[in-house]
Amino acid sequence: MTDVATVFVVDDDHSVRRSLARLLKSVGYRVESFASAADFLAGARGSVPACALIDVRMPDRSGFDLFQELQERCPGLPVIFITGHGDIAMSERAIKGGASDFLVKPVDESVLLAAVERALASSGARLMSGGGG
Amino acid sequence: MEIGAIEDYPPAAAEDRHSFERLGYEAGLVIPLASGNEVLGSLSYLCSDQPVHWDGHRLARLRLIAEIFGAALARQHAEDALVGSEVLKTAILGSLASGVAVLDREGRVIAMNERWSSLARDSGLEWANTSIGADLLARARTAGTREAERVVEGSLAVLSGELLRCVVPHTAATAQGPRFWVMSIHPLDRPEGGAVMTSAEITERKRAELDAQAARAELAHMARVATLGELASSFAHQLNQPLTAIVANAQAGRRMLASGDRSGEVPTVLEDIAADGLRAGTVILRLREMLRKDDPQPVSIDVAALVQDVAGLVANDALIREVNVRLSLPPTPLTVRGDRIQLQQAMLNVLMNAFEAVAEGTDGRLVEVDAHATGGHGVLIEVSDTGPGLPVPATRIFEAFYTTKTWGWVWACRSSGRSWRRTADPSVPPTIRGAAPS
Repeated sequence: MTDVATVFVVDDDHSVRRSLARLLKSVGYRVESFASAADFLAGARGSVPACALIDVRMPDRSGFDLFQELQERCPGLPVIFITGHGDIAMSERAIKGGASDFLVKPVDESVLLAAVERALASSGARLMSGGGG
Repeated sequence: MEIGAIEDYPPAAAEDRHSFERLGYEAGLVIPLASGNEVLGSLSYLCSDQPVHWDGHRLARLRLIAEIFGAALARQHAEDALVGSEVLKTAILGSLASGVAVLDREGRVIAMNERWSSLARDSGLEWANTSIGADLLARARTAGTREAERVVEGSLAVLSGELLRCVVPHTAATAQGPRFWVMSIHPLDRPEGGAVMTSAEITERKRAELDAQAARAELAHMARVATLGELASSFAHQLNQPLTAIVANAQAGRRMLASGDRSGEVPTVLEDIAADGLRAGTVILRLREMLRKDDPQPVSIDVAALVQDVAGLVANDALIREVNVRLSLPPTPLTVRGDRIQLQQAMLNVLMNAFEAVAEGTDGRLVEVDAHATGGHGVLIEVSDTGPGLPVPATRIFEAFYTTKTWGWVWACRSSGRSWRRTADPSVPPTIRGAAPS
């Protein structure tokens, strides 16, 4: 385990991953980036506090599918959805499903950082695979 | 026919004998006036006072006289026919709506109608406004215009037998707008050779063609706009990604600068911002290209790259619809010549149709695109989907505005010599094939 809060960024777009990671690191967070749901499940290491910033639309497996699996494998890991296709129905689905927040791209740093803070505050998660922290 | 005396008439000619007697003739001789095999008339000698013995000597002299009369009659008939032919030719030429000039093998005018001269004046082709006997090709050579050069080249080719026909269009700007003419040159069908030049104004037809062309271009443009409307979500996503990165990088960079940029990463941040800005610009450029209203521009196109480009365009749509898109493309370029926007639009339409075709299925929503060279004759693009298949007859999909959808449009494409058709084998997934010549 580590005291440094970790944010997992899962987005298939390289530039988005890199820029979000950079922004979050500039605030002092530890960031691990993944290009797909499969990469995340295989490579993420358990950490507390932690939260995941997950893109909704990804090839192979959507963010919602990943969230469903995380709720079984890693209950308590707060998930913030981020998407360029935000609509009311999608945000309702996300929040009612248990997501911590639902953000629309491009996202302002104050909104993003506030969402991450809230998510980390509720974090008690430990990933049940991919090694311990 | 020789009648030496009344008694020479045979019984079968009793009526003629009676007429002969009634008129008081005793003897007669009729010699036909002939020209070749044609009988033009007859020369009759009639004697009313006594029977006549038509001996050989007398007959020979009378036949000679008949020949002289026959020859004169034949000449008269020929002259009358010639005059009649000239009158008819003049009437025909004068009745034509087109201008006509007939040239001998040297290019001199041997016949023309009034319409030729008036069209020459109206169209501004002063070199053509001439008279019978003039060397039309010499006048054209001195004109110094591209049309005149082409008329000379074409006429010489027709006169020499090298060409069966030459057509030279001509346009003139007027206060009422452009006017269009076309000059045709054909061989003159006679042993001495020559050529027939016709000139006609085709302004009405040309304007109708241009209007139709503009309407087709407008329709194609509307089709692109409609398709782009369906892809609005895709374009928005493609723009959103680089914009998201730009915003996040800028905000991160500001924080880094505020803390003294201890990591030295700010230059990299700025580079990333610039790269994402260009990426967004590329998306907008692609959008503008598709909305362009220009005339088709034939260029060399790498079909494999174009297919990947279009697949990238619809990738987000595929994601939303949960459709898998599989591309089978060669690693080397597949080059064809054509209009990029048209080909892109056709590819886009076929893919969007495929997405909608598989939409109702819940499993295995798959669209496959295969592009490969066809043994030197061009490139074949095949799009298959796991949808329900095309209606019968499948050729109806090429009818404008034909659709089996309850909403929206189905756009198929047949243009510029490329054809799209369905495979005939019902055991394979419905496939649209397009062949593009290289």
